[in-house]
Amino acid sequence: MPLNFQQGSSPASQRLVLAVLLVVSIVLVGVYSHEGDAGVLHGIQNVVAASTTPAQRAGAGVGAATESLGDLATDATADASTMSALKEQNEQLRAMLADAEEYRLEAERLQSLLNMEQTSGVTGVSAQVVGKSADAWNQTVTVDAGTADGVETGMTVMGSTGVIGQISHADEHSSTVRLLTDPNSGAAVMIQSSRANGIVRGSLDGTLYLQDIDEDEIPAVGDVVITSGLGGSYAAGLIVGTVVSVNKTASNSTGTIIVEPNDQVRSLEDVIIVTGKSTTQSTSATTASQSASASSSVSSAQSASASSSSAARSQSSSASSTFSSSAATATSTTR
Amino acid sequence: MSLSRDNLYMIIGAVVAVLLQFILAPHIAIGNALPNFVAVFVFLCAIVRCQTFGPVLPFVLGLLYDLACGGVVGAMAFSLTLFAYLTARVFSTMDNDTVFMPIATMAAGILLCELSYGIILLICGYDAGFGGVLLHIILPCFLYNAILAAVLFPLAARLFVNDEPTNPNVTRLR
Repeated sequence: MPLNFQQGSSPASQRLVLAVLLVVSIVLVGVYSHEGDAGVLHGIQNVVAASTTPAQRAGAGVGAATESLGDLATDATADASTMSALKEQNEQLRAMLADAEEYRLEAERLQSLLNMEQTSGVTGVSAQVVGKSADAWNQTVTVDAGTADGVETGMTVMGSTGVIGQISHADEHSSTVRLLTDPNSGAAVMIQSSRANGIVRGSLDGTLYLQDIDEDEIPAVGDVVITSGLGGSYAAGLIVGTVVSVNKTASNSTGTIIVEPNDQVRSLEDVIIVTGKSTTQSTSATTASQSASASSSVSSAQSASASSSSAARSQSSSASSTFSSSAATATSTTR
Repeated sequence: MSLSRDNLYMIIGAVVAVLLQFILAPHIAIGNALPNFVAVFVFLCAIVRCQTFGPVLPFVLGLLYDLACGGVVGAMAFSLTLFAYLTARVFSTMDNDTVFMPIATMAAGILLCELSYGIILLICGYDAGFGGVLLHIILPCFLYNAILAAVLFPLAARLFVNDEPTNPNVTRLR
């Protein structure tokens, strides 16, 4: 019997096989859509996806190389004005780095003195991004920390300067993070200055939109957006990004509000999975966020959370280190 | 159970396509456009071996893609199986002694496959509108995959062609 995928059989039997396989496919789609995350097909999908992690890990090196090539091309084509601007920016960054180092040392001292870990801290697991989604429909990354490290589905994931997404599936040694920019993602947030509640949603083009915000509390460009903790999908008080555009029209009273995320994910970059946060800070954030729109925001946040965790998959990887720090901002400096 | 040279090439090609999908594809995305090496491989086979192309290869690879990529299981299997098979059947009836015709047929098949996959995902609850999905995902991915298929076609025509003499209508790239 020849090992032949092409079935050199008669057209009639080929058509029969085709019909059977199409019916099987449709049945699989139907079962997958209705069975829920604990279903058999989801389980098989998680196992298969986990087995692709070694390949994804190999690809992370390729990713870093391609990003370096991109940077190299950009640098090589930079003109004189760009170079001088970059030099000026570099000087500013050096100054800021010196200041930041001072702040870091100060934060460390304060942390040890006040033991802020117990009063208002974020506890987390650091992990490395080892893979990215292999299709265009999901904006997810794979990190090398899993349930063995205390990671659970639904936990908030931060980059070095802000929230980047949420654990959509946790395997033993790896987890899948659905990025905030994914169309199926949504996070309950509030404007830091006005404490107005809303929902930040991802989109197909990767832009973050602030929605469900009260008409009287439209933010201004430059306002900082933080997680509110409403709905329980994201830990409270973590920075998401900054409002960069408020486009109010007659037909849309709340306008189109675009938020620029504070952090972006790159290959082989470390992230922080928030495993816990003290009740003090969460409570203060939640209390401060109580407003007329709170109830609607909770329901929206819950639906967004359910939506974002519906398309989960997993991979595997190595162990990672656990750390704790006093706050989201302090976290980045500690690292 | 025997394994002919061309079938060996096909199996190796399938494995390479799957590996490339996980190792390379996420890192060579252009904007939202991500190459689908699995689909490109299947459609290349559908064109190069149109006379004997059956539905099993696209189904198996489509199902593997669904399971490994985290999409709706069965969606890519359905789209690839249906449209790769139709592409093979349509192309086998054509007067195909040009380079343009196989590439155009392949591109049409890839577009229909991407459209079908997108529609299934939308029906299953993907949180976006059809217009946005068409503009931001389906068309960019189609363009990427069509160009990739066109570039790889000469190589596939050399490697995956049948050992046995084929119908005069089958493409032999000259």
